[in-house]
Amino acid sequence: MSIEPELDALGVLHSRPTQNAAVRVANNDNGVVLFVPVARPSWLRALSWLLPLRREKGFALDALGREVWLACDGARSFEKIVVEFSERHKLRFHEARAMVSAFLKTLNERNLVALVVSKEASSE
Amino acid sequence: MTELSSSSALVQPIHWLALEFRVPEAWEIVRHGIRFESGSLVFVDRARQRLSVSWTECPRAPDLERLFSDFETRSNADGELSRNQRDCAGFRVLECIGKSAQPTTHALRYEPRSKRLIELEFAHDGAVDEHAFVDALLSEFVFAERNQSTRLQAFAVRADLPRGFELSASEVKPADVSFEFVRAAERRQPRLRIRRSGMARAWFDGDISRALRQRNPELRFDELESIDMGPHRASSGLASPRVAPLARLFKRASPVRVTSWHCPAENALFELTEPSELPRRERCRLWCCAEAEKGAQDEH
Repeated sequence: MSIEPELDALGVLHSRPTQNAAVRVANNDNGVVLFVPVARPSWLRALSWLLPLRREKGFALDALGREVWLACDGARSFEKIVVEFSERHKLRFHEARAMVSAFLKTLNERNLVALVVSKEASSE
Repeated sequence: MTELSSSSALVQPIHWLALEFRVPEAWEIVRHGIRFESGSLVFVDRARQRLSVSWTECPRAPDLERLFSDFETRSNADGELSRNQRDCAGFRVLECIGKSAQPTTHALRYEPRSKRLIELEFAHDGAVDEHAFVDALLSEFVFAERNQSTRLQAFAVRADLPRGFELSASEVKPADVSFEFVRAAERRQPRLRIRRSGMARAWFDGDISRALRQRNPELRFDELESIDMGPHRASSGLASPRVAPLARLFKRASPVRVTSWHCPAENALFELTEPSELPRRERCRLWCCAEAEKGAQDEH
């Protein structure tokens, strides 16, 4: 597998955070719960018919998390999501960026969101 | 003077350690020094560093020409190619082309009132006339003596401080900024503290008194009163630090006056902690929104 080139600041700003289509969403009073299928090796998958292994992992997001999750529609760039977040909460751009990027990093580590980078942005 | 485009218009005032200048609205501070003797402020736009302002205290005026020549040699050694030298608004200016063909401008000035050497470095983005931009930015600089400067304006905080107080500590986190000041002569007590906590709608339930107590567990509050802070209702009261009785006996725990209010326009909670013995006319003025400022002007 080839190693992906690291993105510079502009590359990150132009990337498009996109929700994992396999995620099931359940709304609750305060926010949202995201259920992501648990990836297992094939031998364990066969055993799952016999053992009560859970098939999904749930992650609860509060209202702010839900707001960012909904913004990750694949159409909006990371920069646009940050700008909208900063305007809504009256934050400075870099404050909003620090918050949104920390949150997206967590979502990304849990396979809930992927950063889609256009070829032009990655080759710049 | 050439008209600057709206994105590069110098509309954001900065007051920091006896330095006063303006930068474009979109520039933000990402690194800051809190010592008057030496330090720097580094500004970035959305993508990269745009300006650094550094200062170093020099009790006597340095040989600026020699410094400038060393400066030019150093820039050339770093791979920059000097293009032009000139003077502007009391600064010696050196225009260079960086390794990646990016224009950079360095400016140097000795400021006798504050006895500091001021050094600036701009990275241009090619969107505006760099010459006009640098000239406009340099001509906005105002310098004050160390103990004459009473205003702090940065990180969406604007405060007029009582004379004699100096910045001693800062904590800048996303949506939570606080600054601490001490009287120059008395490094230990009493302290003045300003805190601005953003995103209030996400965590603030509307009860200022409760928020004040929760956010200051180290203080024991007396009765809190409700007062007007411009168009906002503030909660204010005297508090004593929770310290050992002996420390209180030796006056190492002076009481403070804490005032806090919510500004919906800024979506932020402001908190001001001052030494209780400060006379009313000497108290710190902490500004939040334009509405509050207007109210204060009407009072005058």
